Amino acid sequence: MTKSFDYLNELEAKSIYIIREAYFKFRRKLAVLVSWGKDSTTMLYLVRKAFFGEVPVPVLHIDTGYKLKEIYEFREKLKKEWNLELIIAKNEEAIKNGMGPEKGRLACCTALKTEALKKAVEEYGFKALLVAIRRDEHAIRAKERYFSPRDKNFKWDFLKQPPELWEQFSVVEEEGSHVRVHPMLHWREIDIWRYIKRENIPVIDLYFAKEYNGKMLRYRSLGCAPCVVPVPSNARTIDEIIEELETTKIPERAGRIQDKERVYMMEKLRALGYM
Amino acid sequence: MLKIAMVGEVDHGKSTLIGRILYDTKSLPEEKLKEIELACKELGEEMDFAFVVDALEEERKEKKTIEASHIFFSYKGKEFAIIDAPGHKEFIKNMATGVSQADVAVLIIAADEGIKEQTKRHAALLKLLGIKSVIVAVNKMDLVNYSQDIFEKIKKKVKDLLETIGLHAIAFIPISAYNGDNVVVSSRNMKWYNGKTLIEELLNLELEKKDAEKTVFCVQGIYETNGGKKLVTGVLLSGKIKSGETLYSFPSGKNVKVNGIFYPDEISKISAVSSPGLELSEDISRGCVLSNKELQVKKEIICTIFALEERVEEGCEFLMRCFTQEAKCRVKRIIDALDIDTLEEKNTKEIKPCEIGKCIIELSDKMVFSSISEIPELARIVLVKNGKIIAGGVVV
Repeated sequence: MTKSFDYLNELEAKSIYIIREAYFKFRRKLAVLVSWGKDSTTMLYLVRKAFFGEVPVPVLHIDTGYKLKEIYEFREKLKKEWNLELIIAKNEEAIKNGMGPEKGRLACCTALKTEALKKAVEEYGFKALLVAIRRDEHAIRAKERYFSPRDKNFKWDFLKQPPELWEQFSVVEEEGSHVRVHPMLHWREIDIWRYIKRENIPVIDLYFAKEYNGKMLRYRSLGCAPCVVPVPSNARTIDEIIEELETTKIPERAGRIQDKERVYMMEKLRALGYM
Repeated sequence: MLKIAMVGEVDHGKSTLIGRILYDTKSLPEEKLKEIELACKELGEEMDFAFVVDALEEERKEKKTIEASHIFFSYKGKEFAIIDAPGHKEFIKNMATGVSQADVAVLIIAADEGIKEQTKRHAALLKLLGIKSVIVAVNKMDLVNYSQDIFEKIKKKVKDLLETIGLHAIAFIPISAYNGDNVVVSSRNMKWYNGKTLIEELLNLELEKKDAEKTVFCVQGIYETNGGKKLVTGVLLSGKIKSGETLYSFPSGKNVKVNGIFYPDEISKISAVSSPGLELSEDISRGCVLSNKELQVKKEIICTIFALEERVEEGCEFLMRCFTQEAKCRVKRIIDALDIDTLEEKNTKEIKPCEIGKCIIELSDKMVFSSISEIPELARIVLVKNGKIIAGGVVV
């Protein structure tokens, strides 16, 4: 049984409006930040819809070197099929010096993700990044703006977020600062899956349940191999995932070790420039 | 999805009420409860429902909501988003940011304190931000022995307050967010109350559907494809567009023909709400509004504005934005400002931060405007200085 879910049109129109506002403001100083998970792939799909099948700005992937191998395969496939201008950013120095999750997750995420992103933003002179975070992912992200400024040190000053009224956003430009633009902020996990189903958007196979050591498991959230684990699930198709989400009480990021480690981990990571 | 803003004075229980709704509708994951328990323990406190929304370390330590939060839940097949707005005057810009996204508001008033300054300010802002449906929840009834007498007295006062502002409440509900009375479960402590619980009111609420007769397409920018096609991108706010039809382009009023519609591939027609690209017979630019009907074009407007962090004075110059339109503007005259204490209009030459006032604004170029009831997007304006929104308002 397929429901029509007309409300998805509104979510889509709003996201495309935000994506275009960012593009017409920043042009080639804008990049799409992707992790190749369901949210950033959907965002990339919406960029293509906003610009009639084209992605007019660079696509930036922060590669920690620890990503699941399926993510790399998916990246190469989409790069070709969607004709993407792909930039891969890596903190080679930290990797060479042996940075890894065993050195502490806050240190690892900061070095391999945040620092790598900082370098790429500086090198290419990006003034804005499209980032696919959603409010329902995490209580801290629920407090975000659509256009969220970061200072030259990448700091998110949540006490001084500029106002956003209706469809209007504040963009204050300062030396070395950039704006995180969040076109997916108003989507929930279930909306993403309903939309993926409706629009037939490609997703990584890891989201579907498979047998691992005799147990049926699936990844609900993707990331670095040492820091995400699959969670128990029987959902083998998109329809079954949607059905599962309609009833589940397990949070989306349950398979992520990083969030759980400490109460204010996410706030600390984000204050340092994490997504 | 119904978007509900929780507003009201500091400490009247907005965050606690949200926590209670989520708990009683069984929307809180086990893990979330554990996280909150742990955070409370670290601060040496008992379980606090407000921690569901007050996620920032600073908010939890100081026991106040700083930033508006959006929380989703579903109940009996209906989907909701709750927007928790901070009550402190200093965070009013965050409150306005949150409430500007809402369909309905719950105005929370503590029974032991009654109407306070932010109760009035928030109510006035609800009116300005165009929130038509308001539910009044008189909270902390447990602190006044669940007294019907006290509830009725507060109800009468709030009714008068809302009337003065020009708002009408759908319902007045006596609740205790802390104990759960009349939130999701009917209260055993207030048998004298025969009305619906808060959740029942929210389940029953139907939003007005927009009239789709008028076509309104606001231009965002021109995109040239790799194939050399020039497409006019924008948002179709209302109505529909068919390939081959002729529309008016405002503010000029000139005719333009729609030669093609793309979303992302070529299609023959499209309806609101959507963000297509159009191939047009004429060159037009960002800020133009396409319609099949006559639209109002003005170079001077009267509007009610709300100053966020800076004062708005006579003679001040800003950038005005109205959806994708933009023009330089000058505040020609401040007509009056609302005195939050007395709720009377006072004569003044300035609208101070957190104040609401009426003014006449002159524009450098003509812009298209609509009434708030018809096309709200073309009735809402913001004043911008150095890229930052410093005031929001509605054209009268």
